[in-house]
Amino acid sequence: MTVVLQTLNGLTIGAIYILLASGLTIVFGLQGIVNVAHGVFYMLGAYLAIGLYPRIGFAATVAAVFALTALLGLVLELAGVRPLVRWKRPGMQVLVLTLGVAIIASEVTKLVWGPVPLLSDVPAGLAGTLTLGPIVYPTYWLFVIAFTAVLMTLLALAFHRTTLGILVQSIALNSEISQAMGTNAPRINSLVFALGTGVAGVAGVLAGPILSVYPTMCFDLLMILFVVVILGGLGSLLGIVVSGVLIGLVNAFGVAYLSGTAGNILAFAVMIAVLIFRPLGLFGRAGILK
Amino acid sequence: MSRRPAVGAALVAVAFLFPLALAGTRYAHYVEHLAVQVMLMGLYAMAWDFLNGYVGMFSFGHAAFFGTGAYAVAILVVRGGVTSAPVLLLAALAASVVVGAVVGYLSARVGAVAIFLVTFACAEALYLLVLTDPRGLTNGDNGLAGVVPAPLLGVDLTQPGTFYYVALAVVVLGYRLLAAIARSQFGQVLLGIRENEVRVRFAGYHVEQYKTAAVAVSAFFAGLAGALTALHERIASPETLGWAVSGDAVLYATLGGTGTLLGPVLGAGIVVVAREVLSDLFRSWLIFVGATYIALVFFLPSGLFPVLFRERRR
Repeated sequence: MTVVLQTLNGLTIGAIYILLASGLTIVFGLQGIVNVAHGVFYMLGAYLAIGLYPRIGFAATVAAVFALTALLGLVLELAGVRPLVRWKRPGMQVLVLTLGVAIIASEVTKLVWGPVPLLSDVPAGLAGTLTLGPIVYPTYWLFVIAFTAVLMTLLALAFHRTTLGILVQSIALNSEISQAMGTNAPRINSLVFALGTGVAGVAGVLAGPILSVYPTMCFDLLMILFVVVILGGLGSLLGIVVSGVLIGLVNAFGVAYLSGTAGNILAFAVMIAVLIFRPLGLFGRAGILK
Repeated sequence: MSRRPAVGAALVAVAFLFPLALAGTRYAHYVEHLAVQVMLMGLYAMAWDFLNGYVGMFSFGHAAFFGTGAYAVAILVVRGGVTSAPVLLLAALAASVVVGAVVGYLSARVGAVAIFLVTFACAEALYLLVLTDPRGLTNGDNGLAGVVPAPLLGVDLTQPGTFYYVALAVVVLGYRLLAAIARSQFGQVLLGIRENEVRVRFAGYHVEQYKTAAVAVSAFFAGLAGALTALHERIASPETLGWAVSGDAVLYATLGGTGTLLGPVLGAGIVVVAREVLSDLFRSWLIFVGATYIALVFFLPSGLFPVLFRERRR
């Protein structure tokens, strides 16, 4: 029974990783940049949910947080990232810039909400447990798995079936040629960046009741998030789903059978093992990488 | 015409006379302690700059090398009872180079931006390992205190003043060595990799091997700075492996100017002193650090050094 429970734990935590990593990896595929401040939107989502959820309910909280974090992401992209993309080694400049943003955001969070970890409530409709045969499991955790599965399916459909999705793919393959064919790449890049930060905000809302909410959470999650993104192959959406589940499971079993930090150390070991044999990650393709 | 030799000589002369000017004043000990911090952090940032400025590899995990140096010394002193300074330093350097070779091996095979992610993950994994302390070596959260070496040939590092000159000698030597490596044939290949990796590969060089070696060289100097810091502060704490220390290297070097080797020392000087002042006045002084990062990217992307000394970035 423990094995089944730990598998579900792994899937839940993996779902959070997948939501967070999806924005990072697609933005990397498009613009060749990594947003270190990605965790900030996740943190913001978690903190906002604590204040919003009791007042406006769960569904409205998810929508409001998505809108707000997407808007803030758009501002960061337009004001910060876009001016830098034309420079020499833009990847490095964006890293330094977003690192600065993350440090400031973390400090401001400490000032506004205090340094003590806060608790987030499980939404009323999803409280309690579900009994599946011999297994009793929290409903909310199952909801997080289902939510992520649905969202990622929609994302994959949008990626392959809509015009916008095809344009995004064409930019990821070759930005110059795609633009020569009339694609407004900067606009699409901004849009995707904002969608990614919006999803990160939603991931924060969902993660609040599962993981604790504190001012340096935007940094503490980065390591495991980077492991997921690298393992899956930077720029690959399918990759992060597979590696998110894998790292989630490694994490859950490591924590259950070894110790609290063993999960993350094991996840790192998996990343090293994969990088030795596949430097571009499980699903990384040389053509997509910039 | 480069003004670098004159600048360097002037800096060393000022640094050499600095303790004499301070001697006898009330703050002599405190200022000297701070000056040693600046020099060691400068050496550490210089090591980062060698990798970023000369090879084009942006590491966000240099704390792994710095902390390895610090913990190698601390574990040998506290757990092993070894107090011979040369043995301690050699062991620390060997450990740092090994960690550097492993991190380098991994970083050499991934893309330019992914290096950031890989080095960060490596450093965080090491940090978690030290914090968890599965073998009872590192004393977890509290770190290892009491890192004091025995005197060697009349040089007693615990004497005030002595450490200052030892650190000064090490930093000057470290700079000369790194500059020599950058000028060597090995260094020229690294510069080539920074400018056009594909072309260097087509010229028949094993780019991965050069990159791995470059990370190991950088780890050598970062580990040296870490080992000396542990001896200077007499403690190795888990924070020396944290991301904030990795970020410090980036901050010092980008503020001072990357690709200059001396710029990072300047950057370290400014930030270490500013931190000392600001952290007393404001609890959230890290906001200044964040703002500095943002301002640098937009207004001073090549750092202070080229502006002050009118040198073009190489």
